Amino acid sequence: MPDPESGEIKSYVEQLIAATLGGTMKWTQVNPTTYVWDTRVPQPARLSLQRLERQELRPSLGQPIPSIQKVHSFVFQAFESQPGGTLIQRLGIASQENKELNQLLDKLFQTIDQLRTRQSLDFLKNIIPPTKQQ
Amino acid sequence: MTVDTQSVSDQVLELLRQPFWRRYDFWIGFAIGIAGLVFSILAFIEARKAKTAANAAARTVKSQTVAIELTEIALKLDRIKPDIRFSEARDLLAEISRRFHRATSPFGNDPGLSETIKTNVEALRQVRESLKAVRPTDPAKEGEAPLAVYNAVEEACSQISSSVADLIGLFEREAVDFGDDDA
Repeated sequence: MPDPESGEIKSYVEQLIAATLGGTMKWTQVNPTTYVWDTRVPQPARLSLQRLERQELRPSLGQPIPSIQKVHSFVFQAFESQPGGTLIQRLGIASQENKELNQLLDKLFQTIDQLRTRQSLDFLKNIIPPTKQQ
Repeated sequence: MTVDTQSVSDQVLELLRQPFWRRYDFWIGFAIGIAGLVFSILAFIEARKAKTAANAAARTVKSQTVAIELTEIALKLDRIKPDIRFSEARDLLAEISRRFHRATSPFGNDPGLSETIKTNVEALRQVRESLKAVRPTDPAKEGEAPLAVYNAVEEACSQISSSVADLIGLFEREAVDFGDDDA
């Protein structure tokens, strides 16, 4: 597993954000907190981005007692797709301990989420029959 | 009235005039009564002790049973595999939750246990929330994110396992009873 501190990973994540925004990567939602992207070229592979939520005791401003806050972290995985549909994990990164990477993956997740929401709204807009006022 | 009858009557009257505490048979009856009362009080005290001991024994047995039940729960939590599927995790969590509540509900108001029980109940609630977050959009395509369920619940299950271990320790202490009463 590569060092999550490495700038190389961050650079790849930035490329993923750009590709997602550019529309060259179409992510699929497999559950409320996980998106996957499949590719056939240059070799069959799958990327997976999962958001994890946990509760942490954190100091709150102006309060002597720390409060429970929801904290998000991410698991980013890359799988090699084998013939027959078997997936072999080639990369697995948990961003819990890396704040900078966590922010980047959060940005990627939000980008995917916003694009999917936009697509869903566009779909809804297209299928709703026009009203007389329009 | 004959002379004999008169004599007997006089003797009876003489006896009746005499204060009862001056009669030896009164003191025999009194002594027997006091002894009976003392033995009754002693029997009551012993019965109370026996009841307390029986209650303590029942609590010890119950604590041991709960400790065994919680150990099984902890083992199940530790055996979660990376390839666990959503339906398996849901069933496992339902079973663990049901067994945990059944085992610990009699001790919910126990001052020495209630706080740790509440911590575990909250941890179970959190893992249920974590599991909800990975409910497959399409169950047929769950395999597309093979480790998603494990990623979501592994940390929470590990926390519950630790927390359950704390509770096992408390129940084992209850069973052994190192309390101040026995010191």
